[in-house]
Amino acid sequence: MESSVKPTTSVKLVLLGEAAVGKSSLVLRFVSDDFQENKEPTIGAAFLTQKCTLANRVVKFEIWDTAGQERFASLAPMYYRNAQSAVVVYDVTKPASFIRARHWVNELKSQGSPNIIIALVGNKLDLTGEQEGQEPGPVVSRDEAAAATGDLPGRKVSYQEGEKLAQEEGLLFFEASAKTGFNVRKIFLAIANKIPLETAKPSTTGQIGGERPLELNQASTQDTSCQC
Amino acid sequence: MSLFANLRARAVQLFDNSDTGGIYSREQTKDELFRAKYKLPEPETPMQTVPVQLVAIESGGPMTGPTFEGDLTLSESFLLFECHKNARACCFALPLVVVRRVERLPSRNYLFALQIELYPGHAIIVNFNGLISGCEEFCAMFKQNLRTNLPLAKQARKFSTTFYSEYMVDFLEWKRTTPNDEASKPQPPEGGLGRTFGFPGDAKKLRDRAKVRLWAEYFQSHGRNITLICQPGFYKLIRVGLPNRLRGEIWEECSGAVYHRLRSPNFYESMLLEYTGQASLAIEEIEKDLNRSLPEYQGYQSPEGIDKLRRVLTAYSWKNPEVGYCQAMNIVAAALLIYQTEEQAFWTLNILCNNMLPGYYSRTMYGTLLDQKVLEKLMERTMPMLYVHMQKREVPLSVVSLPWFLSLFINAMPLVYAFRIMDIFFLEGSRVLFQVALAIFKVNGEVILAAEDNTKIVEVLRNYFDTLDQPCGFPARPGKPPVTKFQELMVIAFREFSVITDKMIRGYRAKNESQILTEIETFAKRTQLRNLPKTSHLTVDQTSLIYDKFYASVQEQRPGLGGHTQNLSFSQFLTFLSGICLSMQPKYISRKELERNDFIRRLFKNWDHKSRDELSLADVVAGVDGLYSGNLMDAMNCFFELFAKENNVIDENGILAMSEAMLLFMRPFSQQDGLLDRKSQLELNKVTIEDPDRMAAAQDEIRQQQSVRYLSAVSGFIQRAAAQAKLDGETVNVTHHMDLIDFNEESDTEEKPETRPAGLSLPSFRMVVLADETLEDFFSETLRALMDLAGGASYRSPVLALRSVVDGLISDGYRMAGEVRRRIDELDKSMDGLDLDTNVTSSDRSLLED
Ligand SMILES: Nc1nc2c(ncn2[C@@H]2O[C@H](COP(=O)(O)OP(=O)(O)OP(=O)(O)O)[C@@H](O)[C@H]2O)c(=O)[nH]1
Ligand SMILES: [Mg+2]
Repeated sequence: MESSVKPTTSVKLVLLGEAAVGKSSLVLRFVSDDFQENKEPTIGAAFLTQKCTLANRVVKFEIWDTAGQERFASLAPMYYRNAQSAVVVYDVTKPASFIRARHWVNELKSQGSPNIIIALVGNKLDLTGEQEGQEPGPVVSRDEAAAATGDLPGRKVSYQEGEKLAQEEGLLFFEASAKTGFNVRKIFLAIANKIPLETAKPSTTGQIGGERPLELNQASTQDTSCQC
Repeated sequence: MSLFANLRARAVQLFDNSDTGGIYSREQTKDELFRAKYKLPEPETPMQTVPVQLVAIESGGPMTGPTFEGDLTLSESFLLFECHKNARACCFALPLVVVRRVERLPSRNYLFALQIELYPGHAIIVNFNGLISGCEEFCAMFKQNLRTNLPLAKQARKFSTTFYSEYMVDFLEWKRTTPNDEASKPQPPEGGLGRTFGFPGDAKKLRDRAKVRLWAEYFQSHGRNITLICQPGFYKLIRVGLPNRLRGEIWEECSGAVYHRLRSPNFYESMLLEYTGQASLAIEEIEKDLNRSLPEYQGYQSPEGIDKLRRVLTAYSWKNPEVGYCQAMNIVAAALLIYQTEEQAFWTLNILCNNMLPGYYSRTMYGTLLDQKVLEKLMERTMPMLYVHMQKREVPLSVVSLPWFLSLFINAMPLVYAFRIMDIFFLEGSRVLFQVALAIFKVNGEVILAAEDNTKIVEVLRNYFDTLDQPCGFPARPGKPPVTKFQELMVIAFREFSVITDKMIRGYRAKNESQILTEIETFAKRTQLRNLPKTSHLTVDQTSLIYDKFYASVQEQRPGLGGHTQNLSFSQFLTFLSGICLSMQPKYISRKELERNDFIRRLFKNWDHKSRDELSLADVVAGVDGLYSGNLMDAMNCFFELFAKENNVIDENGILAMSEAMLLFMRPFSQQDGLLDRKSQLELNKVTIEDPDRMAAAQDEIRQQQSVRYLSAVSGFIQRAAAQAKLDGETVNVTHHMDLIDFNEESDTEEKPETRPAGLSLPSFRMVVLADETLEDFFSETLRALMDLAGGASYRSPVLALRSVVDGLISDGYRMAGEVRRRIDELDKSMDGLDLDTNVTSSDRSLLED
């Protein structure tokens, strides 16, 4: 198999975001290319893995998909501890979920790993009724959007709002749909591409552990070969 | 002094060892233990206990039966028995309403005996063998309680028709006596969704019919539902798994939920009625999850099932607003509703969330977090190798087990197996969850130890749950089907881990509770502070202090327990104010006076931006931030705003109210035994230097002067403000010419001369204030200095609070002196950096100033 010749790096990734924005659905799409209309809420967290093959290496994602309800937030540090990457999800039809996403970004910035790579994802794009892959013009009036969507709930968080937050905070940004699969792989590929080779933990047998990236960092500060 | 110090140290030690503010660190009271043992509702209490010999007589049988030595206890509406040697040999909790007849029997071997006949037909004979006086007393009380409960007896008859067990026995009786009379054929009572949509699992494979027959036999001889007498057969029947049609009922009986349903017959319906159409956050959250609860079960693909689920969860959230709704409750409630009616499920959910798993679904989920910690400790003790291995992992295995506990294994295992565990769980309590979890780790221990990473472990467990119905490789007994992995799991959980006792778990909970609560509180504080709007005057430390005082005022319990109230009511606001403002301390103003104070009410209303009659943390921080400006202009604006009418002027009443507010703040300076302000302190310093002997006398004198100075400043304010207000009204067109002082941009923009009615405008208000030095000082520094935001103490747990009481009792005098000193230090520092601790320089400086 091709991947066996390429070096494999393991990357811990955590999914955060308000309840029912579609975190588990995004993971399901990414891991099994599937979608379920009535997905049970995640209790605590679920753990899944999926490999991503890049040009020069394979990235193995160890995904912690967390529960979205507010009161589970105090559990979140257990899961994002030592995570090298995070996907913060909101629902483009629910403004409140965007506010919650902003909070998560703040929390990750202040409590997460120092160089954590964060992707902001506006999910359920299919519910806007917009043509996929066609980025909306600079200004879409609410009325126009509503008119175009018919029975669908329609977009309540504009592309620009998401993009702005991402720019301010230095995040990757995507609008996606777990239902249609649009942009889902792209999110994980983009993260994989941003993972620097030396901070990703090599998945050598028997040597797993959150302290891993930390140890490596410490080693590299002593090591003069570090490229700063 | 050393005596005091000693005393204090001992007292502190005493308090530290007892209450840390959690729910497990406290000893359970006798009443609580009693209720927990028999699963009785509040407010049942043990009234009298006598040793007896009990004879359990089967219905329809001869008047003899097996005998048990044990304790008979009477509570307000129950009669309880527990066998001495082994509680499982015979025990019961009979509501007094099921007693049909009590007869005194002559007895040869005992003092006397009572024959108690119960409604379904079975009876007990109680042979009294204690002291005669005790037994007589017991009987008198028994008679009295029976009389009190008599009015409810009729209701109990009707109540018994809601049980499938009652129907079963009636049906068998009908079949025996009048099988051809269709009209008198009993009808089954309402049941769970399973009766319409089918029950999970293969009934044949589960040997459902055989189990039903065995239960019928038990019910006929030992009573049923609320007249049940529990003997070994009962526990055995639960161990082998409950039959579908009886499952909901036995769950309800084992958990004690049935007594709540008995006690509050119309509660569930009226709860729903009362809150019809009302919205809440919990309802929003429930709606999100209704279609996501056991979606694979037929009943939840129909509106009938969804509606039931909605009603039960909603009613629970109204009854327990401090819990509201927590994800995972949807799954548990969905499971209950397959077997129970809505009302049964509602009460069972109540018992489950409030009594059996306290704090699991609460706002902070501290119960869940605590029990995962306890599980880790139990693993360390019972499987040290595995524990060490686990510790090395990035994510501890307890994180994997957390969903098991929250969803009672429903979302981990195939439903039929999760329900088997629930059968035992409702009987034995949360210990079962630990035993099963430990057994799962034990069974998979070797694979876990060998697994190279987390991924593998999670995979192994997932596979394990999917193969629970397969043979475990254990040799089967001849003629029996092979032992399944689930059976193996049960054996390990309840045999091998029978060493895990309730007492042990309670001990671990008590030991780890405080740490968990502190972690939760630290996290919550960090998060909330991060999400607060930016403040312009308060520092991070001060905001943090306000946070602590806010929560100390909102809740008596520790915030980590996740109480309901997250906002300050008016009365809590008063407590909060006394905590952060010197002038509002009980020393200067009584609680009653504070409550009636006009200014305080204005403040509350002004800070309550959303007009909800309560203040959020953000409201309070913003409010204090305004008062704490320490900037003359800002402070005056802030004050003015509180009294101004819509047209941006203060009328005569407002002026009076305002001066009262000033007086309120100034109390520490205007009272006889109050504090010295900066000016007075400077004067005192001067005297001290010039003539140290006169210091004491001078102090009184200066205080007197200070008091007069403050009072006259305010009375002067009233006069001038009133005059100015009149003038403002008369000379509307030339108002701005009166503004001798330039107030930058604001005074211009406020000019709307044509429409301004009589009253004090902001510029005039400022002018009046600035005309008096004391008032100017008041706004520019005194107000700020009166805010007690210097402390850095974190949340005060009850221990700390108690400790401070001790401190207070012993060193009140010292403290007060220190307080005065500190305030004055601060005033001075804020002014010109005077430092009273280094006496020489400060006096030098005050000399220089002259
Ligand atoms: N139309 C549409 N529905 C979606 C999409 N993604 C998820 N959903 C639906 O939204 C609901 C919630 O999805 P989940 O993936 O369970 O959401 P979650 O964020 O994992 O929720 P929690 O586990 O409760 O935090 C499910 O009913 C999904 O079918 C999407 O892209 N489009
Ligand atoms: Mg989920």
